[in-house]
Amino acid sequence: MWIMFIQNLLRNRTQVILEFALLLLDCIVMNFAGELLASGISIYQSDWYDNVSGNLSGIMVGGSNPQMLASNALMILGMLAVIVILLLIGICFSLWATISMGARQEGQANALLEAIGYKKRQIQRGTWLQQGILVVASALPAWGIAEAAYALFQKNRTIAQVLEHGHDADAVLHWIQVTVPFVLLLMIWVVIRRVDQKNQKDSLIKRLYRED
Amino acid sequence: MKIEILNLSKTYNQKDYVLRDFSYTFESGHFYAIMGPSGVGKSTLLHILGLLDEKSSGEIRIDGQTLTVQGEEERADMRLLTFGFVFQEFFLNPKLTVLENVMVPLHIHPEYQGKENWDKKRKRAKELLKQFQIDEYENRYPNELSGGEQQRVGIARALANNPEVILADEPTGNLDEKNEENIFSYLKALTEEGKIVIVVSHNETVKNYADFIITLRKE
Ligand SMILES: Nc1ncnc2c1ncn2[C@@H]1O[C@H](COP(=O)(O)OP(=O)(O)OP(=O)(O)O)[C@@H](O)[C@H]1O
Ligand SMILES: [Mg+2]
Repeated sequence: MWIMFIQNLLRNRTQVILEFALLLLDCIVMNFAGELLASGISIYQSDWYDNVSGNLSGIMVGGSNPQMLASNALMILGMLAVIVILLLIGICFSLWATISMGARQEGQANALLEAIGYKKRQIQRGTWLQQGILVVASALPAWGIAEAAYALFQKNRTIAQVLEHGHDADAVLHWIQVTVPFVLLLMIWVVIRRVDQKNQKDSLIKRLYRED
Repeated sequence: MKIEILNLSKTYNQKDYVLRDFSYTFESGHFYAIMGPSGVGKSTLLHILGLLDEKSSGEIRIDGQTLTVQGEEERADMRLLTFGFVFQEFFLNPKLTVLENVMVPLHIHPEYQGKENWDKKRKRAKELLKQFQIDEYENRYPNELSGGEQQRVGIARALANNPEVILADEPTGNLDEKNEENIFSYLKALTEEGKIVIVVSHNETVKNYADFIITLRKE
């Protein structure tokens, strides 16, 4: 489903916007999943029975029986792990699709120029910035996972606090610190993509006229 | 100009040979047709001749000089100045208009360098489009053309640089009889200017124009 969905998106005219939405969604959900996992772990590890009913009661279906809560917490952890893995696969795929599509198109155009007699140095094109940002932006959601691991060692400094104490100023700040770079990078990437797409023809022609 | 092929072999997997010990001499002013069943290696031969693919063994001599494993840049220069290639699959750039596609090789051709030659480039491209009756589509994009029209754009592009050797892979595969005759007779006329024309074709009509017919056979 992911594959068909993404392939259709990529063929679409609204490709860029949808790619952006997809990546953004990936980032946010991944981050959120990571946070949930982190809070789940920290809850399970220590004082879960104090917090669990308060914080996760929306998700959990258990009563106040500690034993039941424990098994529910485990179940949630398992579900989260599955979600995280699925999302990782999704991200890898969307990354691959985006990069390989671009690379293939560019590769074809370049091979054609080479066949006509252009030299390699006459057809090079600076996409490193675009590709770099794409890679970094897409790698960032891994932060959520890292955060979960981090939470195992230093529970206090994870965004899990946002979930546990919704109004904690520090925790909110931390959340912003983590989320803002995602969004910023994604925005930059989208702007570059858009400008690039709009100018693709111009830039090809400009390259051809470099010597003029 | 004389292109000698000596014991040319090509294998993609070190086991099965697509071409084995092929020898032939192509000379200026002649029209050559390469024929044979599908998959016999016609395109492969043409790609090697046009320096788009590497031979596995054998020798190619141009005017008596062995074509050694040159640097990429020299090969690029030869592709630009000596060979004009018509691809079986057209390979037009979808982001450029018909006219721009035909102008692509001109941008790096030494004779057309510089802003002052802008008009000269346009003139040359338009001339070719007119020759193949696609001048009315000059501002269209390749995906707005029929297969036959795209093919003619590909031919115009291959001829833009006025190459010594024209290598055409099924140049009339998508054309009706009238256009086919127009293309073949245009290529034939080029041989009268001293060019070498090598055409791969399944089309029997090519026999009316070719001076030599090379038939490749499966081993
Ligand atoms: N890049 C490649 N890797 C492996 N095998 C290849 C490659 N290119 C061509 N071949 C094989 O080499 C053989 C000759 O291919 P070629 O394209 O030269 O045939 P052709 O005579 O031009 O056929 P057609 O008339 O169908 O165009 C085929 O069997 C093909 O599968
Ligand atoms: Mg072929």
